[in-house]
Amino acid sequence: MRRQVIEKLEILADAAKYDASCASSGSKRKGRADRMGNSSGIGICHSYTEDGRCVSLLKILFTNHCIYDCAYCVSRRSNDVTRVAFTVDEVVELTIGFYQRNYIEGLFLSSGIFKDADTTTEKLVAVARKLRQVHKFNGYIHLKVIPGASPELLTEAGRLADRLSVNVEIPSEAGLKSVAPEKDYQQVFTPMAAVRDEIVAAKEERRAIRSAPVFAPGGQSTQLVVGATPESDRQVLVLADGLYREQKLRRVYYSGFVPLGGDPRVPSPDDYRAPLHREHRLYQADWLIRKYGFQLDEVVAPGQPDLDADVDPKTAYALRFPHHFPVDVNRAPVEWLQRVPGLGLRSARRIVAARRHGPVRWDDLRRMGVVLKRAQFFLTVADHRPQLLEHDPAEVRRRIVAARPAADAQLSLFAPVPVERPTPPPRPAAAPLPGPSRRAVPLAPPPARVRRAA
Amino acid sequence: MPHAPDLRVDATLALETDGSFPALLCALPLLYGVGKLPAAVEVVGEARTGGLFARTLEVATCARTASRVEARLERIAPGLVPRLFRAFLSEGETAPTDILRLVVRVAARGADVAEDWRFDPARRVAQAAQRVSRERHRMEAFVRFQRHADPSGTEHFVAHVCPEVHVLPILGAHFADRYPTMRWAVVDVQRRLALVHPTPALERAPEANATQIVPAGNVAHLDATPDEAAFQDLWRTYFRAVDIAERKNLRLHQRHVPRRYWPYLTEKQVA
Repeated sequence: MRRQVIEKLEILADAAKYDASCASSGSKRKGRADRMGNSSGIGICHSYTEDGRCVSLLKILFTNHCIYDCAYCVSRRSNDVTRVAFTVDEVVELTIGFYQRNYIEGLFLSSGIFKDADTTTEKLVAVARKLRQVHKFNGYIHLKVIPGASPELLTEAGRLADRLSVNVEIPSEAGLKSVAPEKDYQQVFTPMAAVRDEIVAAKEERRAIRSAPVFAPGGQSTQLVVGATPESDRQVLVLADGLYREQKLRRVYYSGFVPLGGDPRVPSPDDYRAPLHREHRLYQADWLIRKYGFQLDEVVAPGQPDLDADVDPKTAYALRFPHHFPVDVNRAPVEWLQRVPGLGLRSARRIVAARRHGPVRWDDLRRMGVVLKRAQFFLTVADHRPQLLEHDPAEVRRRIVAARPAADAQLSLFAPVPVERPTPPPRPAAAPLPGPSRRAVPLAPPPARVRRAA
Repeated sequence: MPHAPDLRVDATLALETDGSFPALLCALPLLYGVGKLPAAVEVVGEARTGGLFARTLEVATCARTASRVEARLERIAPGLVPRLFRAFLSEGETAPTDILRLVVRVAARGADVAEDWRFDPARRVAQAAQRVSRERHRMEAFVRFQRHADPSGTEHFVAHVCPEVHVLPILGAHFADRYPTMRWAVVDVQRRLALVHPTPALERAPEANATQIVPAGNVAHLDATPDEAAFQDLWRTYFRAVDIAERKNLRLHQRHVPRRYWPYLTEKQVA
């Protein structure tokens, strides 16, 4: 049996790895004397893959059998891969064995669709039920919502799991139909809205009655694949912004399309590389909107299709609005300190705490962890009054771009170093596939310090 | 208690303590007595730090004095003592004197001073505490238990680690909360100490501590259970399978998982 489980694990972990969600955060479970497991709310990355992505959960498919034929998906019906399926007990045993050894924070269970939505969802729910009820498992569980599953199953899934997710995958409905003709946006947004409503209802109920059951306390997330279809960065971010507002999502993940070949509807590995640099910029932009108080239009202006590839979105913003800068470190409100390129949420807070006691000077900034290479053009202190931005913003840009040391690879929690920049996808109705670009891209500076995925 | 006097550092004064954190707290009443801060804190029986001090104050550690000072500090600056303790665990050379300087300054001017990074001791204490917290977080992630069984068949989960700073004292709460039903031990191979959770929560006397720190030699050497090797293989299989070769980035990988942790990580061992 063990031999078989190893083979299944190999196949079903491999098939699940393109889902970017890894978070084990957002849900607080206190340990209980008779149970195994807890969840601190901040999440723990137990390891990292060699491509630098966090390994927090046992992320697997229940099966890679699938009735759908989506061009971007490795498990698509028409793809020639070995098909296997776990049993409920196998997944439970793996989860418990890994968790006891402190390998993981919990389970992220997704699946290909065999037969129909309910049959598939029943299996996922059965795993979660057995973990919680038979094995007294109190760790993190993330379940995939299969569009079309019955409301009763969805409710039970939400009671057992910490987080639920439905993946939008393709960032426009036209794009989705071009690569997955059997799917449409309604199939995705109907269950997403149902989960949202249940989360809101459960929260309200618990305000009134503390013992009322929880429903997906870690919230809901989704994933957008970029690069498989020709949407612009602005299209992607407008969609994400809407998902945060209307569907109340905790997180939107961006996954640079990794071409695997074999389907002419999406880019081929012969002439397309995963757009990792683009993915990284999207995460930076997402962070500015969610954590730094930026408006969508400030990050990516209407009429501007893509984010600036050469500088991070905050620097790009400062260069577009030079009249807002430089910011006076000793007087500006914290919201404006956060908008200075090179200043993070943490260093902004530190400045505010320190300046209560007396003026902050240039050397203090260095000690507080401000990235002065970028920040120097955008802030003033008594002993540093930059003028260049006012006179020549283009020169500021040149200097920031030139200051990026080629050896200092861009380190981000999400995106590995880009090797080559794929040409941006063509606008709709342009050439069918993005072509290759042979131009090496200089490595970008580290982003405004981005902490663990929320 | 605004406002205690702000003391100055006397370059000729040293403290001698038993090297514990409570000893530092006990030193405070003495320091107010002499009206000066020490330039160094030395530990009885350890090599001197090198300075020649005209005067050495000997601190006698007393649990009652320590808890009285701690309670008082908690009133002046809530939450500061845990930060001081974490800075202390960094084992940094200037940590003890920085802690004393910061406490005296906070007592003189109020809790806010602890956040003023322009004051070097405040910054160094915060940074040292941060370093210790980061290492604790890494240990919460990188501990890898192995399942062992004693001759009677009772299971024990044992992990070996080599943390950069002394994190065992602040690691117990997390693992006791997570694994209350298991018997487990985390062994710090460099400091030769072990954090042990010898009794499942339901079998423990209500007043007993969940975990304690004991010499590493007290952790018995037992045989792995028959399924241990299989689970390690499964984990390595999983780790390999989730890799995306097209995205490989070893620099980023090593930044997240520095090499010094590799010898203790199951996924980094060859079966």
